[in-house]
Amino acid sequence: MPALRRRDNSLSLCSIIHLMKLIKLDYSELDHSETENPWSLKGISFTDFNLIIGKNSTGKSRTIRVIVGLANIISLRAPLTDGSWHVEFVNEDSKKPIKVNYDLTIVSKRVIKEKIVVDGEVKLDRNGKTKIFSFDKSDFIEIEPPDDKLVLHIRRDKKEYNFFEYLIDWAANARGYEFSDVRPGDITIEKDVTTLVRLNTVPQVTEKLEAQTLNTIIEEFNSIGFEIEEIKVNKLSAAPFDVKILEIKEKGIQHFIKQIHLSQGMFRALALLILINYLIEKKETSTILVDDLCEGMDYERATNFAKLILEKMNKAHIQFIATTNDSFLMNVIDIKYWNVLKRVNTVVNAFNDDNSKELFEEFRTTSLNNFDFFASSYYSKLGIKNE
Amino acid sequence: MKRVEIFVEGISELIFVRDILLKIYNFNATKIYIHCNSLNPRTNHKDLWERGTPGAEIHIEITDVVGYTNLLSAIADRRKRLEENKVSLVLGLRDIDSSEYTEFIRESFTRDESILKVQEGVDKGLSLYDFGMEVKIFYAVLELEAWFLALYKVFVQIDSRLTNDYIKSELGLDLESIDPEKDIEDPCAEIEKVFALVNKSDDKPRRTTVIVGKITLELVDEVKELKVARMHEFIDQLKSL
Repeated sequence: MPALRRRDNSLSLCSIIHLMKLIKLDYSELDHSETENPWSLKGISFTDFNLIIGKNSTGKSRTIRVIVGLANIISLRAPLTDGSWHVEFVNEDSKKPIKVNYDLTIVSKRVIKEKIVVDGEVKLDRNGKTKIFSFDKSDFIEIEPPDDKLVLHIRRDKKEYNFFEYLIDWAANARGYEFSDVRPGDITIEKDVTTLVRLNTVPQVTEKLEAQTLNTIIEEFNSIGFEIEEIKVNKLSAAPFDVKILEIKEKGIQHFIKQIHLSQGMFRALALLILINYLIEKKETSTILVDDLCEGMDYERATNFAKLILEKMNKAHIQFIATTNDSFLMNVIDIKYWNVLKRVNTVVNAFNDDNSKELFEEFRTTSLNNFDFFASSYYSKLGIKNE
Repeated sequence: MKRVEIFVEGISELIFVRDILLKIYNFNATKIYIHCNSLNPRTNHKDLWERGTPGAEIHIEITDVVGYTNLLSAIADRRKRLEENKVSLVLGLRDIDSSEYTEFIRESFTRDESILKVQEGVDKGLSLYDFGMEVKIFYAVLELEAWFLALYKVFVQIDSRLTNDYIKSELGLDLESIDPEKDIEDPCAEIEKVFALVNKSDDKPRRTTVIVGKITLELVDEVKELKVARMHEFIDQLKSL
């Protein structure tokens, strides 16, 4: 175990909790089950906008689930789940970015390891014994947490252990969606829509939007190839209780069209766009994870939508992580935003501009379409040294 | 019958190649058959233009791939079909811009060095695929409009006021003495300025059609050995089909 060092920690609480971004992730499942294969993911790194790509069955969706799973555990949206996460975040709220590392290993729903390092300084080290840095005492103290709880849950204290807030804030604002699972006919009744757990809560979210934001959404939605004049929220007439649905008015069409009659691609894009604009309006820092981005959308709208999201992410405090195996989408998103997944048996390696810079740069000089990364020998060259 | 396919990066290049070919082969319908199409997903122009008899000696298909980034991939994607159709020669024509290389390689290069790097990259891209025919890529340095500026005498035929002296006095641009491949930063903007001198505000495809319509092979030969070396390489290739 590395030596725990004392440090006069004078982090101001109110300045530490925004703009947390996921930078790197390694994940593995321990080989302790007789029925499950121990799946692992290595080398994935993230920027503000990210496209996770790979051939079928390489682990794109599972990667999203691993990240969302961690966020759910930290934010208490889900119970402890087995796995070993090694995660690096950066907090960009201060002049000097702060690096936060979090290691968590859970076996048989028991916490085996939990470690937090902030800018190279260990703040929590749980690996058999548990030591935690106390702001009040300016020193480490030994504690004995129950093994079915995270220390960051049972010891959360915004003053004394303020470093937990980095992770809690990230997790509370990390939301994962399956684009292909969003259907206009799925009407959701949520008490607290602000958690934004499902894209189908979009009618309730729309009600909370300012008129200016709604206009922006209509403008942006039309810029990707749709033609709508108005969006409103209405009560579903046949419902026995208060159920809200979206209605949109298309140009040249006399009456509003109910959400349930919208095409899947149209509803999915509109729902995601409303959610992103809601977060921007509320100035919320957030991590949005979308599996199968643009699934169900046609070529032109899908590519325009992806470009629009990229453009918006550059101006918002939102980290966007999406998966796709759509060649059109890949062609419009620069490979510097890519993580290419390759699976060998149960080990998935991610390749990106960070760990395969030379190969990525060489490919870019070929003037081939991005999708040719797969069609050509570049894909097979990835990770040859590592495998 | 010889089958040739020419992939070009845009509609301007398509118009240029098509018209130059017609002039080279004297609009001879039994000598040359040209069919043009575009891969633009918005318009889906499978049959954009056609001229000549299908049984002509040289059968040429010109494809607008809609952007230079699609050029190599469009050729690579179609390599099996090209082979099946017994295409013996594939030509590509695209712009080449120095920033294309320097924007992602964080070092500075001269225009010539950058262009060379892009060409090396394209050669590398080509080498990734097995083609059953000869594939040659040609480059318009900066953009096709640099070639038009080199053929500056077309301007006076479009409007008698557009002499080199007049352009020089109004825009400070001596088209007779410069080589647009080397001495100009934004050829398209310069052409727009030239047209504006006589209050012509045509859009780019219209301007291209007007200019290309006035280009003669004599004009091309006049500037041979003097400027736009890459244009002559390309036209010589078209002449030798």
